[in-house]
Amino acid sequence: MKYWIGMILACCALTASAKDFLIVASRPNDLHVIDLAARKVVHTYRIPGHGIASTISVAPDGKVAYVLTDRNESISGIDLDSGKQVFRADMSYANVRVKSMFSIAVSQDGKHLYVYELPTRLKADEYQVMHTRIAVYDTADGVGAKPRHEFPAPRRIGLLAPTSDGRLMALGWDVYLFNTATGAIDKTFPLRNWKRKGFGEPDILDFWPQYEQAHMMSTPYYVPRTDVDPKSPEAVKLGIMTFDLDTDSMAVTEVGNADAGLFTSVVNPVNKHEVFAVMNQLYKIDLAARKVVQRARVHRTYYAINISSDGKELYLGGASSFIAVYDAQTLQKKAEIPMPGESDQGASSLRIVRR
Amino acid sequence: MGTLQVQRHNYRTAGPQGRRVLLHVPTTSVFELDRVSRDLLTFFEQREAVSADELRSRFDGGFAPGEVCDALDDLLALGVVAPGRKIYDRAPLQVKNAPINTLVLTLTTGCNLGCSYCYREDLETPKAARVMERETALAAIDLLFRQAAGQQRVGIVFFGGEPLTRFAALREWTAYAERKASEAGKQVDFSLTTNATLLTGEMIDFFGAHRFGIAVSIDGAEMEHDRRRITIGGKGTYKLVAANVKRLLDARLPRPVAARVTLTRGCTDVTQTYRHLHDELGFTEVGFAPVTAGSDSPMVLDAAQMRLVLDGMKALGRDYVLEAKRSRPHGFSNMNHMMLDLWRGTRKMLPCGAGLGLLAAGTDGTLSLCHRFTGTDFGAFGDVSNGVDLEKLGQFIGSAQAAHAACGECPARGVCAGGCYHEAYVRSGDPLVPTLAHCDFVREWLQFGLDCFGEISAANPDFFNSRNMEQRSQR
Amino acid sequence: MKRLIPLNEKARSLAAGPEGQTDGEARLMGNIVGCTTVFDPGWEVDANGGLSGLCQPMESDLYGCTDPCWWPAQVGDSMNVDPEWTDGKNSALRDWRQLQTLFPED
Repeated sequence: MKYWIGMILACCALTASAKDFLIVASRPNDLHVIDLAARKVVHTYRIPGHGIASTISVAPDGKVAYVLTDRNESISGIDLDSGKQVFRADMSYANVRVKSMFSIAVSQDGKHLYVYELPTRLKADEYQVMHTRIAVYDTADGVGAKPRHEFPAPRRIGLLAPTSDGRLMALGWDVYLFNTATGAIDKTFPLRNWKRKGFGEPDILDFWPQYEQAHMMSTPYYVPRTDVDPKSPEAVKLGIMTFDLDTDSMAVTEVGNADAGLFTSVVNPVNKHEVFAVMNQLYKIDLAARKVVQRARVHRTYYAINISSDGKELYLGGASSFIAVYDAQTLQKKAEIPMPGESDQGASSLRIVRR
Repeated sequence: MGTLQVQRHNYRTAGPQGRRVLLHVPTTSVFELDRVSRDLLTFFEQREAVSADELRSRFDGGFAPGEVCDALDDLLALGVVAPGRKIYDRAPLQVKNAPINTLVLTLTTGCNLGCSYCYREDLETPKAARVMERETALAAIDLLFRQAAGQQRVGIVFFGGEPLTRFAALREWTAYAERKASEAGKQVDFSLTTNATLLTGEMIDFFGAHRFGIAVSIDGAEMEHDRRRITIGGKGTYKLVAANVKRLLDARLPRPVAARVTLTRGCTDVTQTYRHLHDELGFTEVGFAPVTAGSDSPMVLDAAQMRLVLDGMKALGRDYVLEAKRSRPHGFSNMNHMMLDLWRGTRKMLPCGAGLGLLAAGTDGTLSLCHRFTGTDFGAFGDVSNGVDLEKLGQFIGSAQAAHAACGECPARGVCAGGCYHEAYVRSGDPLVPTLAHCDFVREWLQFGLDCFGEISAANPDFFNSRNMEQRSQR
Repeated sequence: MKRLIPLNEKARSLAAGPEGQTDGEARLMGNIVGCTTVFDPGWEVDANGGLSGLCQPMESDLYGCTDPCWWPAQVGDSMNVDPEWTDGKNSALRDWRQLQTLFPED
C-alpha cells in the first residue's frame, strides 16, 4: 500500500509527459535507455571498466541505474540523464575475489544498494571458499563506495528485491525476508524445503528481476507430483511463485503441466492475477483461475520480460540483440527495437522506469 | 592409443621399501600409499610409458579393476602420472603494498666481541659504532604500525652488532612500541639475538616482564665455543656466556630461550653440541646453521664437512623420532621446523618473509630486506622517513619468485624456494642465485624428514595434531 | 582422493575440498528448467534428444551462457577463465564464426 501511495505521488510530481522507459544493457558494457512509445534507443551510455554488464536495478525515481559489471565484481551506478558514473563499488579486495551472480537491488528510496556476495580467498595453493553475505552500500557514497555493513546470508541466493517496509526479499532455495538493519532473517518462506503432500521439490532457474511494475517478484517453477504415474503428462507441473513486496507475502500456484520451458515471468500492474512468462513461447497465465489462458509462439528465445505501466504492452528481451514488443491482450508481435551495433543483451535485465 | 608416463619431478616417496609415503612436490601434500597405489606406482616407475593394455595384463587377477582405476585416478589427479609432461605453474604474487608485520631495528653496528666468522660487513667496536638515533627508531616503529594496518600482531626484533650494548635505548623503544600497540589495538612481540656476554639480572627481569623471545648465539661446550666466539682481544667467552645463560634459564622466562649454533670447519659435532646445550645447559631449543661465508673462506664447510654435519643432524633426528613416537618434545630446532613444514604442507614461492612480512631498519634508517643485509652494498628499499620503496621491492619480489633453472625440478623446491638471499649474496653476489653447494644437503635433509614424518605418522599419528604443532611453532 | 590417505594438513585440504561444504549443499535439478538438463546429454540437445527445447537460435543463448559461466555449456566463460574470448564479437548471430578455439593451459 505504501508503495502505491509513493508511486502515485511520484507520478503526480512528474510532468504530464512522464512515460515508460526501458533500461537494458548490451555487450560489452553499454547501458541503453529506450523510449518505448517511440520504440527507440534514446541514450547509450558506456559503463567504465570491463564488462559484461548484466543485472540492473533502478529505484522508482528513475534517476540512477545500478548495473552489475566487471566480471561480476563491481556495481556501477549510471545517472540516466547525464550518463555519468555517480556510484561505483568494486567488491574484490586484497586476495579476496568477490562476485555477485544477478543478485543486486537498490532500495525503494534509492538510498541503499544491497549486493549478495560470493567471496573466495585466492591463496597461493588453495581457493578458500568463504561464507556468502549481503553487503549494504549507501548510494550517497558514490564512486569508491565500500559496504557500510554486511551480514551473513544463506548460499544459493539468486535474486534480491526491496520490500516497501525497507526490508529485503531474497530468492534462494527458500525465500528469505531480511531485516537490513540487523541482518536477521525475519521470515523464511519455504520453497525447496516446502512440505506439500503430493509434491516434490520445486526447481527454479530465474536470474532476471522484473518486479517493479506490479511490485511483485514472480518466477515460474517446475515441480514433480509424487502421487502421479511418472509417465503421465501430469507428472511435472508448471507453477508461478509470486512475492508481494507491499505485503511481504508469498503465493505458489500450479497452472498447468510442464510441457515447455519458461525462464521468467512478470505480473501485470493493472491486474495482479495476470502473469506473463516467456522462453520459446509467450504464456498468459491467470493465477485466480489457476491456468494458462493463452500461448503464442515467439520467433526466438527471450530470457526476460517486462510490461508497460498500463498493462497493454509486453517487452521481451535478453539473449540476443533486440527487444520485441508484444500486445498483452492478443499476444501478437507489434514491433522490434534493435540494440545499437546489433550487440547481444546476454543476461542483462529488462527494467522499466517512469521518467 | 594413449600412454601414461611417470612424472618424477612431481613427487618423492619414503618409508619402508621406499614405498609407504608420498610427497606431492607441487603442493607439499603428504599421502600414504595403499597396496594398490604402491604397486601401481612401482609399475609406472619401471617403464618409460604405460598403456591401458599393459595395465590390464599386469594387474588382472591381482586387484579388482575398480581398485586399480581408483588408484590411477589419484595418481592422475596429483600429476604423478600423466599423458604428457605435467608441470604445475603458478602466477607470481604481485606486491602492491608491503604488508610488513615484523621490523628489525639495528640498534648499533658495534659489538663487544670479535667472532671470527661474523657475517656483518659493517661491524665495529662499541666505541666506533654507528648507532640508531631515537628519532630514527621511533620513525621505524611508526612505519611498522602503518604498514601493518590490517594485521593483529606485529613483531620487533632488536639486532646489532650486539643489541645489549644499547640496553637503555632498547628499553625506551620497547615502551614506545607498547604504547603504539595499545593505541592501535594490536599485539606487539619482541625478540632479540644476543651473544649473552653483557646480560645482567636487570636485563633478564626486563625481558621476562615484556615477554621477549631470546636467541643466544653459542656454539657448544667450551672448546667449540671459544674457537670462534672470542672477544676483540682474542679471548674465549664461554665461561662468561655459560654463567649468564644459567641465570637466564633459571629465570624461567615466559617464552622459550633458544640457542643458535654456527657450524664451521672443525666444529661440526651436532650431536655432542646439542647434548651440551640442551641436556647440560638447559636450552629448550637448539638450532644449527652452517657458517655464512664465501667459498674461499677458511671457515666454510667443504663437502666432506657438510657430510659430517648432515650425518650428525640425521643422528640427532633419529633421537627426535624416538621421542616423537613417545609423544615427547625434542629441542632440535631444525627438525621441529621441518616437521612443521611437512605437517602444514608449506609450499613456498619465496624462501622467507624478507621483503614481504619483514624488513630491517639500519642504524641510519635505511630499509633492507632483512637484518643480514643492513650495512651491505646490496642496497636499500626505502627508509623510515620516506617509507618503503614499493616499486623496487615489488620488482625484487617479482624476480625472486621466478624459479632459478637449478630449482626447476628439484623435489625440495616447495620448502626451500631457492634458499636464503643473504647466503646466496655472499657466495655469488646475487641473492637470487641459489647456494648450489647446499642443494644436495637440502634435498637429503628433506628426504630424511619425509622418512621421519612417515615413520612418526605410522607409529604415533597423535604427535601431529594442531595443538602440539602450533605450540611448537610459537617458539 | 580414493585410495591415497592424506597424512598432512595440505593433503587433507586437497582431499576434502572447500571448507564448510557438506553433503546436501548441491543438488541436481529434478526437472528441466531452462533449455536443457545438465547432464543428459548436455547443452547441445534437449532432454528429448531434439533441438526444440533449446534456446532458438542457438546463438541467442551463446553469450547468456558464456558471460555468467553457465557451467553445463561447453563454452568459454567471461567471468574468470576466458574474459577476452568474445572481445569485439558483440553479436553472436553475426560474429560466431570469428570466435577462436580455446585450449586448456596445461
